[in-house]
Amino acid sequence: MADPLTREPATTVTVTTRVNGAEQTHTVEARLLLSDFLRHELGLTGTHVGCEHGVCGACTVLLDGVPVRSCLLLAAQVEGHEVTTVEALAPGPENLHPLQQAFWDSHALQCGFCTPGILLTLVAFLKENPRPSEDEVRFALSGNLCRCTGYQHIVDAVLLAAQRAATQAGGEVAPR
Amino acid sequence: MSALLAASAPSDLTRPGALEALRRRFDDRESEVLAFLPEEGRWERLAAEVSALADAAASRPSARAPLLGLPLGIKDIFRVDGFPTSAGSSLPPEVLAGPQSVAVTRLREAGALVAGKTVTTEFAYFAPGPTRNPVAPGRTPGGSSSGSAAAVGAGLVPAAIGSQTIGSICRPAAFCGVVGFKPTYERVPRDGVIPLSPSLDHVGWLTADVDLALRLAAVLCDGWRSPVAVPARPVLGVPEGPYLERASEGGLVAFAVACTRLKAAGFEVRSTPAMEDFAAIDTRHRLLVAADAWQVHREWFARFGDRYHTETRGLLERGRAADPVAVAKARAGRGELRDDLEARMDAAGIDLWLSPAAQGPPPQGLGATGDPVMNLPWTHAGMPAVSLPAGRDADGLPHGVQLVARTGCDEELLAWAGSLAEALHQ
Repeated sequence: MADPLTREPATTVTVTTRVNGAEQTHTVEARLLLSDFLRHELGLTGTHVGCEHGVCGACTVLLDGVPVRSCLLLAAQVEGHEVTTVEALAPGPENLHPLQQAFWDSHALQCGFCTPGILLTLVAFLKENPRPSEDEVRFALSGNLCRCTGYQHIVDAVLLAAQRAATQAGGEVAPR
Repeated sequence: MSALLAASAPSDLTRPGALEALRRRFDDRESEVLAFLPEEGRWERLAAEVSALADAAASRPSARAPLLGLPLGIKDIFRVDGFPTSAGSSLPPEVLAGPQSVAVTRLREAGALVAGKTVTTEFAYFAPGPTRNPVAPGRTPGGSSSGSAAAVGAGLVPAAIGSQTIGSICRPAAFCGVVGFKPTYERVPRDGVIPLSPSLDHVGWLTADVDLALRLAAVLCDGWRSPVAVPARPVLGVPEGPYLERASEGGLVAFAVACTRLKAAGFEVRSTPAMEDFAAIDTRHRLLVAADAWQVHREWFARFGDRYHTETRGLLERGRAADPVAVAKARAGRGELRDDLEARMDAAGIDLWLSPAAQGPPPQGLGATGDPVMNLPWTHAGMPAVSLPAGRDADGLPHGVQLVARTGCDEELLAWAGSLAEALHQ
């Protein structure tokens, strides 16, 4: 146990950020990770924490629309920025995001632990590249580990979502 | 004399007539001492709380609360449900609001009653409030727990909660002729206390006598051990060297008298060299206070900087400019000081360090709260310290001595403090 006399005291910072469209102001320890801020301070437990060192991709969220590892960012760093988590993709089970629907239809998840991170990674990917090839999808997925599926159904789901978006008046799979 | 006066504060408001007696003491003394923050409807609130407490106690007579009906002063850096917290500052109270402090919750659950909030210097630093010394009204009561010490010294309440970051309990205790106890660092949680320096802030209390300090310790401290077996008379060590030389001439005379009394009562007092580098310890402590205070206050200071008193502002400016490497060294130095002091206790065969609780008697005037330097190293080392009244000098001014035990030996310290306090009164 650390000597209480010589350890650093906790320093707090007040962070104001927009999470899933709602402004949030919280006073937190300066060392608090964004992933822990989302899960413990805001109760948004859809963001999963796997490796806690940026390798597995389970904690991926969107920061101003760009996928980031929330375990590699401090809550203090998102001051004034906009964070999107998996909770924002669909209003409810009856009304899934097109990519979630494609995952459902393609059996693209088993235990589901990696799914939120993969969804956010690929939502951003499809926005940039609405008509990807299978290789491009596999490359986009390379930063997210899945230990159940073997990835094939995930790749299928992404291609299905892209195809559905293309047939629907040439639209794209955009984040809501 | 002051201890007798203080002892006359009612200690259980659920007894018949006790609340009226408390009110009379306030009527007699508070307008002169100004120990408490004003509160509208104080007596109606207390009457309702006393009656609720008495009903609860009557319905469960077997489970008597350990502090049943004890009226307390609470330093205004502690959050107390039902009271605003201003920490002696001009910041809007809503900025400082939050859940009740753990210490106050423990006290209330033990049956204690909050008589009111007591005056603190601004953010428990040095900018003084209006409180006067109850023994010598033209002089400072000390600080930063000014109101808590004065409230007990004036016999308004038998006990009050304070805090010590440099010398904010032991020094005002000496100045007001009461007992002050600062437990081991983090023996009492600081949650719900507006911090000055989280590394150095200690929750502690001022009481009319040692017995009451002990009763509060059993409620407030984590894992209090009771009873403890101690030798009848501890061996006392006087830390000779540059530290002791910081006491004033009058302070050293009073200290010599106290040592003589203790020896006459059969205590062994050994001169033991210590803290040869006291100037460096002093510098490191003050640097750490400043650096911590800046971390605590920088957001408030950015918004309300113009509302801070000059002295506090100076502290924060020093903290802002502090060199992080020097701060890290200062932090590490704390453990080294504690280890060195305890090793010297072992080598010299002493149980407690004995030193003056303040440089001398309370200084004249209310514009400053006196120098905490005699308390500083013990706070720095996080060791438990008790300040005991050591009588009055030829001018009738109060003095105190300070006894310090090894880290975590709070129980032994208070077990010994009773007989030491008695010996000091001979």
